[in-house]
Amino acid sequence: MVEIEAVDVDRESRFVDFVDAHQERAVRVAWRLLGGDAAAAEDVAQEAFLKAHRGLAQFRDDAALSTWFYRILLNEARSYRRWRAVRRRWTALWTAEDSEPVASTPLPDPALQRRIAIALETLSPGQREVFVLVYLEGLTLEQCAVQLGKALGTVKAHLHRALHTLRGELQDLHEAPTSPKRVANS
Amino acid sequence: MSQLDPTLPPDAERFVARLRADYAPPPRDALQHAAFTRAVQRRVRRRTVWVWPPLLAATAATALALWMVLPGQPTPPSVSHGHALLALALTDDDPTNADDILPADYVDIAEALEL
Repeated sequence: MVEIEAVDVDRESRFVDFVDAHQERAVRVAWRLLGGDAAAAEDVAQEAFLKAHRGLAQFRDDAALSTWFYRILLNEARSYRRWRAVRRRWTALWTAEDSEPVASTPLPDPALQRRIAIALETLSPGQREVFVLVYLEGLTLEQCAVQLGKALGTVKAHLHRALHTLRGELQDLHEAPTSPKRVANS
Repeated sequence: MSQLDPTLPPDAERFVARLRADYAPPPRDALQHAAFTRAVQRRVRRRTVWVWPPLLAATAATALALWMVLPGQPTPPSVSHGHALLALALTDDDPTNADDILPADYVDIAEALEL
């Protein structure tokens, strides 16, 4: 009995450590995938941690747990996007305009962030995920392929198309100087 | 960035760096960090509590269904059955007459074995 309690305490402690170590990145990835919706990003990240808690005992290795967790996170973000799209369509039936803003949190340059979020919306789900993970989150192509369970060639193709589309959508950003308000993260 | 994708031309690299810098959530402070961890722990506990009642209900329903579907234990012969068996054992009649008394499946088995 004492041993079982000790294992539970140890597992919960490991879980809290895991949440502490990964929450910043998890929320940021979700935020970027969900068009800058801070509340949704927090909720999706929490849901992913909740699901990861169930499988904690199966993963002795933290690296494997982390890979699995980010897969859950991406799935949760996809589910949320689908649900949000349905809700928007339904709302659009009853109101003249889309009442939901892309970003719900005051941001240093909300107009630019909104533009980037809208441009990212034009990508396919696969292209958006690859672009966010590789170019915005700094994963290597190989890490991204493992994370998404896709072939390396597919990841490269998604990345190439995503970049091409975004450069077309945000053409004026090529020459403009970087905003001084924002600092690169990760 | 060039480490991630060495084939990226410099202008594309600058473009990506700009998106990376400008398209990021505002930094979260220690309070938000702690609140997030507490919220996850609370949700884990709430789920642990709520998992048990449906699990117990499902187990009870399964047990009830099995109890209703599966055949019960064979009951011991009643007093009247005991009397019939005793009468059969003590009778002086030809034992073949017992076919009239024994259940049909006993008779079938006996015929199959040609007893």
